[in-house]
Amino acid sequence: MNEQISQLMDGELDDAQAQRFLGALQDSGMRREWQAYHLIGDVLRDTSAVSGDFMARFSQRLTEEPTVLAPRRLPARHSPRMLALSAAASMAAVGLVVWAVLQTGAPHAPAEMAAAKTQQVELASADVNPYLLAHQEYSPSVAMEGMAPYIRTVSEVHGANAR
Amino acid sequence: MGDREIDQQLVERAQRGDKHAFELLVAKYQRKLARLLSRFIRDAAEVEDVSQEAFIKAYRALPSFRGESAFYTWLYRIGINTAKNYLVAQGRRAPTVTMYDNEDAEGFDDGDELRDNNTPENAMMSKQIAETVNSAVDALPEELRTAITLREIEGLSYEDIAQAMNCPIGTVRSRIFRARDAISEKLRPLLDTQGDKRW
Repeated sequence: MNEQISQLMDGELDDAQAQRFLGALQDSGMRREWQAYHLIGDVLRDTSAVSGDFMARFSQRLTEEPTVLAPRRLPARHSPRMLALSAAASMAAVGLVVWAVLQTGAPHAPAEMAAAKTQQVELASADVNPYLLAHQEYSPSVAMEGMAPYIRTVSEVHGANAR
Repeated sequence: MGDREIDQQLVERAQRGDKHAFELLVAKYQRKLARLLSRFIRDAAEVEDVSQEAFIKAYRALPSFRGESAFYTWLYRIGINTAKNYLVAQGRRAPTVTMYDNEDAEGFDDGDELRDNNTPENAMMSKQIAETVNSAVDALPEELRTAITLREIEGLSYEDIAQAMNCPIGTVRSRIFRARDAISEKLRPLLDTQGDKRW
């Protein structure tokens, strides 16, 4: 056992071993060895200037002290309510991003794709084209789609001229 | 488990009512704290009294120790404050040098004031202990003497000592223990006569 005291004070026991062994240091003989081993180190480092009965005196005083009982610190725990709230907030954030993307479409669609889309719209809604052209600038998608609405406008104008 | 973690474990045991755990901390740090206090207080007997008081204050304050700093750093501050209060109560000038307020307690450079101002009894005992340890070290086989010296004076880890001595770590572990055991055997009569066998 004394060999483990030696290893413990050198920090050479792993956590589990050290935990177990610290409990065993209740034995007075082992505590004396602990003290002697530390004293040896201090003497070798030339720092041993304390009288020999220091520990006996201190132990007597400590015996007269009321025993300290500090409340144990609880490990940090996350309440289920907080977890649910954070999960809901995450879902809402993801939903908002998805909705915004769907509303605005691809931010940098190639001009060819925009033109093709415009053509399809023209074919499907030829009757409302004059109305759409007149109100093009009020469309909520103007600010978001960049060049696409103007491509459509140009296409409509060209179509009308051809007719 | 490192030094700081061992101290923390002992603190937590003491916080749960294990007084012996706190005594292990006192046994470990009594000389280091006394060395620090001897910078403020010249008389060795007073240094011991103030050290005892500082350890008692630390024990009472254990519930407030949360482990944010190392145990010795925390103890260091208590020791400094205890010494200042003691000197003020004695009507003497408390230390004003701010270097002692530095949180880097581990880097404290020890002095030899305490040895110079020891009482005759304490000086005799310190001398006897030092002679016993040194003669016991001299009597050790060379491989044990080298191992304990590399560990205690040079502060090398077992792994580094194994490399330095070109032997397995298990051999280093055994050599250091055998060295300590042999020296402790020689020290035991001295420590027992000093009453430390009672704790």
